[in-house]
Amino acid sequence: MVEPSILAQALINGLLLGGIYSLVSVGLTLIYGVMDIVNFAHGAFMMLSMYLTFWLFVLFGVHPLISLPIAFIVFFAAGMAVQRTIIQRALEGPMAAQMLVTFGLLLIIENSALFSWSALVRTISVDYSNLTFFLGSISISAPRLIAFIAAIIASLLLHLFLTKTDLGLAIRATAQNREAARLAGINIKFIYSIAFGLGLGLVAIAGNLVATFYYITPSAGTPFLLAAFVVAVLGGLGNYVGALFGGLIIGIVESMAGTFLLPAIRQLVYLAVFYIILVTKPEGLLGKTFERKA
Amino acid sequence: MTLNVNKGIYGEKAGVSKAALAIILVVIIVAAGVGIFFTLGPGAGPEQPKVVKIGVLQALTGGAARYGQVVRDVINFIVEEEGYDTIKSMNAKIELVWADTQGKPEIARAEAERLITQEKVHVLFGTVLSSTTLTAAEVAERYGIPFVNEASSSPKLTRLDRKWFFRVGPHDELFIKDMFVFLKEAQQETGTTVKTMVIVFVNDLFGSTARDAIVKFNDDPEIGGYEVLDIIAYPPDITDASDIALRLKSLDPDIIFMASHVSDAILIQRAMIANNVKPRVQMVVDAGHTSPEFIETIGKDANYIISREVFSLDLNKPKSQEVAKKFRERYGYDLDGVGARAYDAFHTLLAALEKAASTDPEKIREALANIYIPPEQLINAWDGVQFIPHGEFDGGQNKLAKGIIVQFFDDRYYLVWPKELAVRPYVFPAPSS
Amino acid sequence: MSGMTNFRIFSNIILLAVALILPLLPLDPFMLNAIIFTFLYAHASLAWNIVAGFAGQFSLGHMAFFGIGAYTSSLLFIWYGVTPWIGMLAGAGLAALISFFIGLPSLRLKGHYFVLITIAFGEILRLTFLNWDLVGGSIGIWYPVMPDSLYYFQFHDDRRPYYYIMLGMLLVNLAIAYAIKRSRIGYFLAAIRDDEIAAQTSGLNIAKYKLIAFMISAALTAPVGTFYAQYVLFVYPDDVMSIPLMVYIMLPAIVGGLGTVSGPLIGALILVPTAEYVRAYMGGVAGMQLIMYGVILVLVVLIMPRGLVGSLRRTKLGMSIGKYISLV
Repeated sequence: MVEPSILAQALINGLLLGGIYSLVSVGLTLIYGVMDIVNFAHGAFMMLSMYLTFWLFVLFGVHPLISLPIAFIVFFAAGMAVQRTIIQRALEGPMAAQMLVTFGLLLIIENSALFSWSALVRTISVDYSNLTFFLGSISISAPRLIAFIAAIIASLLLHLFLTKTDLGLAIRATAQNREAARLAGINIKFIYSIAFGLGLGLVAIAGNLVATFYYITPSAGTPFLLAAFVVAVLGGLGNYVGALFGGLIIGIVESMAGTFLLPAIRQLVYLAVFYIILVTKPEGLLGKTFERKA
Repeated sequence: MTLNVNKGIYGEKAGVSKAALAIILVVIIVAAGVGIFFTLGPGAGPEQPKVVKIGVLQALTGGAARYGQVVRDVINFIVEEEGYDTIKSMNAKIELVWADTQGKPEIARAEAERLITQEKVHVLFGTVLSSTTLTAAEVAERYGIPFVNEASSSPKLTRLDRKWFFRVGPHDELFIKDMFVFLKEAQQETGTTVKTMVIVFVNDLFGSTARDAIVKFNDDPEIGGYEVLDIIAYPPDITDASDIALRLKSLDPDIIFMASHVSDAILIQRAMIANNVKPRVQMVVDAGHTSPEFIETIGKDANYIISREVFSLDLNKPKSQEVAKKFRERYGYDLDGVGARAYDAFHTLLAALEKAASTDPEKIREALANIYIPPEQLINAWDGVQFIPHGEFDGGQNKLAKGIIVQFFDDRYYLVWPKELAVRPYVFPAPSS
Repeated sequence: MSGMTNFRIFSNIILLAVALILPLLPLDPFMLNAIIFTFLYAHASLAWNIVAGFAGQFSLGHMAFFGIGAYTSSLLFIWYGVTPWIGMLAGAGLAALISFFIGLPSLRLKGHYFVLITIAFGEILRLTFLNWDLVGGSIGIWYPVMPDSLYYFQFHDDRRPYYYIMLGMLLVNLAIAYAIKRSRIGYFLAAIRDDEIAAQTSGLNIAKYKLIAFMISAALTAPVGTFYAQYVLFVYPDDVMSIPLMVYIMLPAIVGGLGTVSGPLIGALILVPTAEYVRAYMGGVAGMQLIMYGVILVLVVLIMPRGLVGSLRRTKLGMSIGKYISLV
């Protein structure tokens, strides 16, 4: 006996959450698709972006929506720098080395944040932080709706960039076949740093958006990281369109599990989904758009 | 087939550069240095006379670091701002030795042992988390060093028959009983009845200890007897609390009973607002819901939340007012329940040292066991500090510690119960508009 | 590699003698504790190294086996009064059994996918235990303090027996790892690690050998969990099966040398005392220890990807040291 209004509400809640998951995973999966590297530090960068938004707001009164492009640019640049200095060197090593490097970055970033800003829980309260709209009996939280819309716009812009611009085409070419791209005169290292920068830029947008309704602590990015892995694998590692839909699916699954099963096991439910997909269909439900040939 | 066993997991590519050798050298030197350090031992020199060493165990890193930081600020406040840096009866300077438990039981154990055997502390003070208090206090018991605990809430800690363990703050059973008594009284006075209850708790040691106490008292027909519609556990690191809010909405209980940390309390309360959940009675187990962060973030929307507490800015005691004001001036945030418990507990320890006039652990233990601190010297709303004798049930527990009930109105929690201390009448149940 | 020279046998005997005599010196308990944890992490890391280093299957779910060891022995004792020694064996058996069922589907996956599925497995187990009230749930197991005895596996007045037990466990583990490395299985695992496709085309049953490595590794990890439970006397999912624990398990092997026998021990000898030192004497600097571990992780991978032993072995210095001490 599920009340229809509760069911609809759970769907909406899941969808809004899923938008954020999508944005986090799109960056993760883009990096994987192009560079073949799993970025364990992805959640940590998201957390850094939350703090950037927080400090800009607290110290200079910059509204989170205005600091959104700032966060993107800062993290795009930071991503390129990190790629050039650290990741590129690890790429020359085997898979284990690449993974461990990003894992090491995760430890460094999270704990440096703890060191610098302490474990105190921070939040940003803007005028619409606690604002709610009603659609009949269904309520929609304003900051979550804004985050959802922005996440979808960001994903669409990424899609346009990858399909309509020369640079975007070069990125996709590199993801599909590194050697062929190199032969075609594409500067692979440059493409890598653009891809890593874009990935971090996207997760920075996610961090900026959730900062208005989520809490900010040095470990605030970690739960999103775990969800992003699940989403990325569901959509097919490397498939950014898959990640977009995967995020929405996982958001809804999680919301339904929490509302109609038990909140304590919502993570268990999506991890179980993750496990089953990996065992039965590791290429993801939607497969890879970037079919690797080399 | 050819097998190349020596190839190593990383393949042939990586050779050994000069840089690598340099690193190896550095590492070896560091290791040697550490080795020498261990053999010599730090502070191996002759011990200074006239020093009382207090080992303070707190989680300064990790998930519980927020609480550890508050306790650290409070202790620094006492020693630096209030100037309690000597024990007059023995004319000895107080030396604080800090140790980080990282919120992990095995590290708390090791650090307690280090403080006792290497730093030669005379007494131990800490920790907020029950799990780290458990393992550290076991070490103190073995070495015969008094252990003063400020704010661990698990009742089990004083039921392990430990002679050297003293807990100044109330534990969950003392605390939560008061809340049920309040519920009963409020119903009688206002002529309303509340029947159904949902318990929401963070699924860790703190949360489930609180849940156990709530269930225990609710099973007691004298003070409990509410119909529990659901018991909702949620993980500490949730990304979204809409599902909890929705369950609350569809269950629509009279009473929501919650035990949460800071970040999850904020998330759940925001989700309740977003999903238009307006509880008639929201009872909370201090911690997250009474933290300055929660109050600042949720503001007016936290109206009518009822919490257990040990400390309130409303306490009509000059001492509480003064300490709270000075603390705020120095650290920029309000003293909360954890901080206030640490404040009184640390002063209890100082008083015991003063009385013992000795650094002999047995004398300090005796002083603690026989101490009585009158209520006017405390900042909490307790009847004083006096420990239940060891050997009896709950031995080592401060039997005069008790909770108060506070309710949120507009900008902060106001003291509403017990009546004789109240500064505002409570609102029960919350108005439905 | 040639067989052991007399020199090496001699030096190993000396090292062993030092290890045996060490606790008889007037060590203070903090140092004893640091050495016990050094051995503990060396053991766990060496066990992990069998599947991650020898076979190249990068499991990030080994904390789960650590937790299975801790829970199995604790629950057997609390429920049935079974001595933790039998509990330790039961834990190892259970870990092997679970690793069989987990390994069967997962080990088919390659590279990143295997890493991700093992993380998922570890997290699923942690969340299950956290929500399973029968095994203590989120209250954890408050292990009863028993009188000092070998039967109860508890030693409070004199903690040196813990040292000798841990040392004994580590020696057994070293012997097993050495034997595996020198056996046919060891060669097969190395072949799989270096080139899985080539190993497969040459007719090797790679699934079987990967599974064997995974099961041995899991069975050797679980006893460390039992030891931890007996030593700390508090068992909680977030302590005995969490991702941070995985960092502590894998780091000694990575620093010391993946795929080597002595690497994890050497890695632990450097990392654990340093970490204890940093925590104890640079006290209260939030996050310092994990920042340090992160920096070490990045530097080692970028500069010295073979780890200390792996790199040293290839230098002249290493070769001459190798005459005296076995750098396996």
